[in-house]
Amino acid sequence: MLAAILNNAGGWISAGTAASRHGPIGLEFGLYRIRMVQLLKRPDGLYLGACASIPYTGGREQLLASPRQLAGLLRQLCKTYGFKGRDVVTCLQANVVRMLLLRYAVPAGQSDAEVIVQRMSERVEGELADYVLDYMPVRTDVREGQEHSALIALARREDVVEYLELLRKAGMNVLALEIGPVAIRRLVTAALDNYAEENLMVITMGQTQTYMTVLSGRRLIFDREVDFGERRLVERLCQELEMSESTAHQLLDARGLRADGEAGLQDLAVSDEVTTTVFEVLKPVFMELVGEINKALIYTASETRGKTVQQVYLTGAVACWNGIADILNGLLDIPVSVLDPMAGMQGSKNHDPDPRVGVATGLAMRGLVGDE
Amino acid sequence: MDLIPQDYRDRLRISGLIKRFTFSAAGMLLLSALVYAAFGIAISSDSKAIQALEKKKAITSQQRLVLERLQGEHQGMADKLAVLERLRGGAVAQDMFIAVDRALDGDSVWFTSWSFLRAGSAAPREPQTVNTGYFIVIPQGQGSDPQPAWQIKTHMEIKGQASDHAALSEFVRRLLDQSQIADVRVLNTRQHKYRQATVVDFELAVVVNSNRAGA
Repeated sequence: MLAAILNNAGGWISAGTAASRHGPIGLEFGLYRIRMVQLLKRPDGLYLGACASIPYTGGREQLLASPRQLAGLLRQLCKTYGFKGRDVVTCLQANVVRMLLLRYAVPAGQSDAEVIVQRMSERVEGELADYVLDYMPVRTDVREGQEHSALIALARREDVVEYLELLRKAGMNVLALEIGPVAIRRLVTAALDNYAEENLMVITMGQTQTYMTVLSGRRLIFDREVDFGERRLVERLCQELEMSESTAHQLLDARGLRADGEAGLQDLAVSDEVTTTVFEVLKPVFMELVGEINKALIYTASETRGKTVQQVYLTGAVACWNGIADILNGLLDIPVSVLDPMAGMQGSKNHDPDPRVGVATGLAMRGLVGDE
Repeated sequence: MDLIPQDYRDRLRISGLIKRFTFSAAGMLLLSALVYAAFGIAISSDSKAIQALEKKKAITSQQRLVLERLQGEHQGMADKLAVLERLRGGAVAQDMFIAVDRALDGDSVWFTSWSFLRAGSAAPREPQTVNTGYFIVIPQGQGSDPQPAWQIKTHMEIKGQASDHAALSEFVRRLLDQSQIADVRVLNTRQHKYRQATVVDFELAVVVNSNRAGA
């Protein structure tokens, strides 16, 4: 009798454990915000376990200089937002990791890794042993004699170990250290329904930099950094309209952008005028971005035998502005929409879409989706 | 893609193992210390109980010695009492009178003196061939020598006169027929002439049958 009860109890426990599993915490230290996402895997799909996007109180550099302060903040966030465990998947800050697309020929008898190491040792300053390097093949269907290409991530070993030690001292167990584009690729492939072979572009518009990531099927074929971001837009707005930075932020956060001639609600006529003016001020900066996007589109077509990009998704801080997708839709000939990181999850309607947690969500998906 | 250096990962894994081992060892050590302390407390408690029991045992041994000594004394006293009882025992005087009275026949024998003596003397353990008394083994003297015995003798001496020797002889014969009498010895006889008649003076030693008398 007792054995039967114990067996049943064991069965319930194991069934419960198998039915619901917390993934690692996706952790991203953005320029102005710390972002954390944790997902829950159940038989019917992924669920959002916990999500936090909190601005730094004293700046990122100050926080990352103090393991104790970081540990306190992480503890507080875990407690407040309900994160479970200490396993994290994180990415290096953009300023310490260098990404480049490497084209190379593989001589007979040599592996891709050997050639990449050889080529990179010629490119880096100092010894290659002072760096940590990993790569992702961009083209897998290479014929004999054709050039291979790979996306290379390169960071100084000292910076990597310092970052890992910081997190370790803060009480976290780092499962993997990734780069933003890989997290975005994982997010897109998992989040979008019926995503198969078409080419997609994800534009992550951050505070100072914008990253254009092109996916072809499940392959990451292009990632490029562009000097475009929220700060540059705000600075231009402040300069042209002679307003303070905080006022400019309030204006953009509250009303967003609107191109001239776009349909709007009649009772928001005054508001439309303001947003149209704002867009006119910022348009030259956006046109620079469009130029870079067009270059990326041409490169993508060359890499995918003429296949064009069918859809552009926006993430990052600027993607939160109202009307941004419409603005870029008007400037590009490709459909543009804001990517909801939680779109592929069960019960996603219960969450407000926050494009800023795209990278953190992609990091949190490591090990939970079949992309590795 | 993962930028964690393999050697860093290995180092963390090894240090984690060492840490786990250290914590386990520390835990085991702490557990051992606790068990040791618990055993120490239990042993201390048991030692106290053992000491108390040993103390009780010592008292009991002492009491046992006293008891043995007292038992010895008691035995000694009992033995002495037995000797005294034996000494006090033997033929009852009334029986002696009855026995002598039965031996008398008419007025041909009469007594002028009668003495009754019961006395003991140390003698070898082996009884004499002629049992004229009985032996009491004395408890003291537990050496290699044969234990001395206390020989109790009871006898009477009767002096008297008889009308003639035939009457005396008949008296002695009748006396010997009595079960209480072990032996009768005629010590002395002498004729004594008076004006009107002649009588025989005699002295008899009568040995009382002590075994029967004391039974």
